[in-house]
Amino acid sequence: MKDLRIFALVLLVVIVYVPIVGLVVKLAALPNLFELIKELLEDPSLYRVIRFTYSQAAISAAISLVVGLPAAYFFSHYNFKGKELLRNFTMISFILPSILVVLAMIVYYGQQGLFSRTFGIGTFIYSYAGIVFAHVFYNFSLSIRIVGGTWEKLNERLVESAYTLGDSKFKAFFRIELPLLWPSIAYSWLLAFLYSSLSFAIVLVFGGVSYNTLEVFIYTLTRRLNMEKAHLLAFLQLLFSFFFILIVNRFSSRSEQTSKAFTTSRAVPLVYERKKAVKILLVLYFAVLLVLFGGPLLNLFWRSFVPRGEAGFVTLENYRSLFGSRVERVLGTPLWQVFINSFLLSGTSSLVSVWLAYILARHYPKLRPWFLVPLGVSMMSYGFGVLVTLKSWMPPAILMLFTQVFIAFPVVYSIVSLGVEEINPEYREVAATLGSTESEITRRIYLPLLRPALQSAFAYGMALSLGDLTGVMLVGEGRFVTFTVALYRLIGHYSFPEGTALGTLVSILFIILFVFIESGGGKKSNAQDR
Amino acid sequence: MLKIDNLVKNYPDFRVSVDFSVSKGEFFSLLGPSGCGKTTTLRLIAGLEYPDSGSILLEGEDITKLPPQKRRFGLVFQDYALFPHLNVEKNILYGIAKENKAYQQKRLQELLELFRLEHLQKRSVRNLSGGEQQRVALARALAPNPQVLLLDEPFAALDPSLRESLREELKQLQERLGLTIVFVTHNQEEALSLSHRIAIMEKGIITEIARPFEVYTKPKDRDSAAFFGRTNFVKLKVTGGAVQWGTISLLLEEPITDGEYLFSVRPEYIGEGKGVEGVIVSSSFLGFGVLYAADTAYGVLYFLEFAPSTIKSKGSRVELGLSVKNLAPIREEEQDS
Repeated sequence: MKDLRIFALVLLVVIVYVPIVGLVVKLAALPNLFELIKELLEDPSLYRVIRFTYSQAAISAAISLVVGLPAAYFFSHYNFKGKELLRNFTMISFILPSILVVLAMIVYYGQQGLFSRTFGIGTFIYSYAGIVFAHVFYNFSLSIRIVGGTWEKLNERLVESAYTLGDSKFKAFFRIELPLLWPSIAYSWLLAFLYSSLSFAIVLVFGGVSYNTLEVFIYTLTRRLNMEKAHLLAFLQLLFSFFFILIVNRFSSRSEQTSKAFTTSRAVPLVYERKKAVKILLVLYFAVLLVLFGGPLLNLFWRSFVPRGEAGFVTLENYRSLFGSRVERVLGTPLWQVFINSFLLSGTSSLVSVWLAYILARHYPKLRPWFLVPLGVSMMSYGFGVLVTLKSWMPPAILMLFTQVFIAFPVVYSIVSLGVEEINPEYREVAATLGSTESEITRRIYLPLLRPALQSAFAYGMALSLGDLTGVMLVGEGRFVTFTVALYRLIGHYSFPEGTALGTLVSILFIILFVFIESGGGKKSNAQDR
Repeated sequence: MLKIDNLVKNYPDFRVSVDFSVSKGEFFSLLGPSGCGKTTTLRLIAGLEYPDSGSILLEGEDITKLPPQKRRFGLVFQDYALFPHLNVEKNILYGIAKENKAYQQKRLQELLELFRLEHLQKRSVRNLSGGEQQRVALARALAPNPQVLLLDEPFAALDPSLRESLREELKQLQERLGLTIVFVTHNQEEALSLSHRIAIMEKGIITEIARPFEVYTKPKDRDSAAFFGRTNFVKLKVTGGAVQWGTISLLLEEPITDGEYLFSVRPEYIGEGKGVEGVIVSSSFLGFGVLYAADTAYGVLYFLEFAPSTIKSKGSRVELGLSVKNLAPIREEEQDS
């Protein structure tokens, strides 16, 4: 038992820390490091990339917040039929792979897209605005979840006390609610900022040559074999992302503190009168959300049944073509192989993550902050670390697995450790006095009690791994084709009919995973946009 | 001063229907088990909810439709609902922020002194003890000089030992400032010790309104009697203004017509004496006295012995007497319930 614990700890260190430390050590060992730094600092493109990365992230995060806040308000103040369904619907965009969002946006907002044709406007997606829009699409649900979560639990007696002390609703909002919601608002902005700044797939496709985030810039340099510069930038990115995650964590705990200390499960039912104006606003708001954000996904499903040039005629032609030889040439591998790759990689990595998370959460609770380090490391920095540190002495399949565990582990660990914390430690002691051995305690006490958390964690881990494009592209070097790589290649070859078919299949898979995550009651943790 | 006139609030599975009035300077309690509708009544008075019918009159003026902001009622919740982002001083000043600075400062000093909070003036409310939080909540509610103070179980979140001393403080405060208070509680002791009058609420309606002494010693019905702790329900015959207690007959303070009546007799009104023989079946030592249960011709009777020299053992024989002080029959129609 003890050996197993130590093995788990060592494995995690190898997966998480060796590449990160390796990245830094190998960089320090470069003989021309100072020239490289000088050269980089004099390169105007670096400043352009940094400016773009953080300016678009700040704007995307601000708009995401503004778009999500009305929903946060409605969900926390009104009860209406279909509320849960609607809430889940707004959450789905957050867990979908970003390359799928890209595809859905192209077929909806692109030159030939339904939206562009219906409203007779040109496409805007291959621009600064397009990138921001895609990030809003991706992140607007964060504020619904974070701010709405706090708002929903806000002790309504605070507001009622303000009323009895003479405040109008408007005044009470600014004097009581807003100050208490502030940490959650800041936290949700910061999280959206972090995700948008680490964005890869969206910027890779929509940014073209004009717009690069640091992640895309590093990737492009790697592809051009400018490895030393890429190495230095990967290190810089490591510093940036770590700095931001520290700030995010500060606000996360402040947001949680407010949540915990001054909220309650509502003792009094919501009694807010539903005025007609409110109803109209509610319907209008969600209708706009549906057209702007639901539209691309619904259109994707619809388009997958409509072959090229035969609008309105429903067939399975795109699906047949998806499994045909043309797609095989585009992907460089048969589609069935893509399915096997994707499921094998995501399933194994999620399983390994859940196992590691369980052992580490139970036996090393004090090391918790160290296990969450991957959250603060950009995928590009980590991937580069793997390439310079482990590539020479490990087979590519293992490296791929490591990358995916790195992606899945922190979220899986958050869910599992939360579950472990909730189990009364006295159960273990009572079971021991009743004669149970450690392995029996695991089997008869912990696993049954943790089942919902484990289910949630496994599904979430799988979703994160399946959605990853950065890791597979960088570490897999294009030889290992998963769903996201396949979608990326189909987009690159303008094979949109087949793309919509694959996109629909992947969406269905993600909806199933989402149901598993939700029904397991798993907390949606700080999953990074990879 | 405050008249609650046939106020009705309907919920899908519950209905609150109340009618009472509170005089100026009165400490009025709504007492009942949880879920009986007392908090809803308080929320209706505060204007946080609106009734389906009936009206609320303050000094003769109809305020039923007035929003809470305009009522000038102070409200203290069970969990105090102190604003967590404001310190003690700012919490207290919250309701008088529109007044001029000089007045605010004067009022603040008065209240800090009244509630002995001077040393906590700048302290965050997150770091206060339960008793301190309660004092801040009271000071905040009183700052705008409310016409009526509404208290919703303000002692429920406190330790029992603290509860007693704060109860005493509240009573003194109410008398000193002549406050009109509507107090909601499920704790009989609190209601008895604080109130001028108590309304007993059950299942959304008020079953009885009376002074604490009366409600305790001469409850109207079985439920009211049982609500205030242990009591003996005994059927006794009354003839010629005297009640038959075993072998003896005792003259009642207030004569009633002949017949058989159900009486609620508190354990402290029965003690060793003459009339009824019994055998001790159990004893509980309570510190200040011993509560015995004795098997008698009337069934098991509970009686209290204060300052005992020793504790009687199980099986010992006793003869019990009855004090006729405050003895009055309880409502006839409830006798069989």
